[in-house]
Amino acid sequence: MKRKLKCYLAYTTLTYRILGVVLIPCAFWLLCVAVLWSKYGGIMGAVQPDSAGNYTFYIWLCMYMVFYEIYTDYWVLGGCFSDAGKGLRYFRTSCRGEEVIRNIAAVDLLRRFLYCMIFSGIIFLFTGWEAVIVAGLVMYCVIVGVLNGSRHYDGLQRSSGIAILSQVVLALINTLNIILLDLAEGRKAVMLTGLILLYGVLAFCLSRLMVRRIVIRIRGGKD
Amino acid sequence: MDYVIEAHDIKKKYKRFTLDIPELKIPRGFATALIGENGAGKTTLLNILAGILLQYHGKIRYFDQYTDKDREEIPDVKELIGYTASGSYFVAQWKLKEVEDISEALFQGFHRERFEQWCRDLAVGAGGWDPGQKVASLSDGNRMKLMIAGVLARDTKLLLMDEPASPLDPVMRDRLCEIIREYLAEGDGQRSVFFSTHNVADMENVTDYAIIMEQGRIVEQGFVEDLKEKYVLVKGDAADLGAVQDKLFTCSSNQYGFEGICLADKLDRLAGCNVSMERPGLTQISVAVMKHFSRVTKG
Repeated sequence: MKRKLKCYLAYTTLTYRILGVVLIPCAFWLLCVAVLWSKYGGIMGAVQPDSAGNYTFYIWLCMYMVFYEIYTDYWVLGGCFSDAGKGLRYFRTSCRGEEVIRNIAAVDLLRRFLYCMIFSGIIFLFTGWEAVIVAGLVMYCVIVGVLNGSRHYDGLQRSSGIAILSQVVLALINTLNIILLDLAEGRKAVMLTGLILLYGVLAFCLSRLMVRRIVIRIRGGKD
Repeated sequence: MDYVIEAHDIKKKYKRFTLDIPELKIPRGFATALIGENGAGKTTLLNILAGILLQYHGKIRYFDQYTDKDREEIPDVKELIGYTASGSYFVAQWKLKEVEDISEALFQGFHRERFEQWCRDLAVGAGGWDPGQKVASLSDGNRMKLMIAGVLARDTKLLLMDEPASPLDPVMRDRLCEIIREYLAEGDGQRSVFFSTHNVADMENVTDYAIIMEQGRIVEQGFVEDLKEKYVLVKGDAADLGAVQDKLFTCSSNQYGFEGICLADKLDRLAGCNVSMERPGLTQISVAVMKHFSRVTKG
């Protein structure tokens, strides 16, 4: 893990790490807390199990997260699946290039996963750990899915278009989840476990795909 | 003769271009120049040899020991090869410190202090070693210097350089020639340099062996001294042009006279003609060979 982290730190710029990894998310965590506080009069007692407000806030948060991840990703690996292959040519000159880029992509995904879990944790703090995991996984799947598309374009316009379209997918997934949970009245825990498994597998597959595609760019030498 | 690279039947097809090289041999211990027009296939060939471009047909042997498959599987092979691209291959947002960090992660034989020293010596960017300077803020010439510093900071035995002289100023081109000479001298016959160039005149004094490419094929190659024996520079008055024009390999003329290149073994054809003969330079030979095979409309 130390080597993976070292590769990630070497590849990402200090500005990105300060602004994209620390300051912007921290500012948003604070904003989340502040919004929940003002709405419910205090975060500890405010966020109630099964609150509709939580869910609206969650969807709004997902929308923000997709844009945040796309724009900050553009800083680091934006356009890396495109023919220009931003910065990947240098990795091909080394036999370690594949391992290094795999490490970078893995740490990057781990960071996204942790952020999704933290954000959904703040909102669904008292709803139960299953809800936190489902919400976090859905957020993560949408973000990674969108990045799989946006990394093909070395520009923000098309990536923004993909992010906007992804909101439809996000809405559909969340609607499906609500319907499924309503249908499973009385067996909610079973349904939540099922959803965790479903989105867990999806998140794993999307992550694998993401790492694999960037490795193929190195290995395949498509130019 | 020892070869650092031996390649056979190299083929790479694009929609409107095919690289087709039945045999390529790059001598070990020398500086080899790859000369050719725009679109001749120089970059494609260098990218194939460096392992940047992996989809091609053919077989390559490195250091008389490794195959192109080994190059991708045995880390030692790419450790021994330093490659500089025609544009920068560093991410524009990187700072020099990050170039250093990622290079260290990519190459076992990368020496930080040597890299910093080369950046200082080559006056990359503002002139000194400024770890906070961004690649994006560097000019094309400085980006090339940065790539050169990067490969010289490693323990390599072969440098593959794609147009290293093009973005450099005349002083730096001269320094580049010195660097190549020093690199070869320190290698005790084990180090080699293979570079493509359009600036034949500037790089001539460092070139030992030349390969001339046209339309994806090698049309001429050999040690510079041998090529200078193979071709002869012929000059004469404009009035004599008609008598010799069809006997020359290539010819250019104006109202006062003409200048052309003739194959040394066909000099007897010029017997009786009023011409003077000189030993040509590599620039004159390469221009003549390129003109002979060129698709560019002759003026």
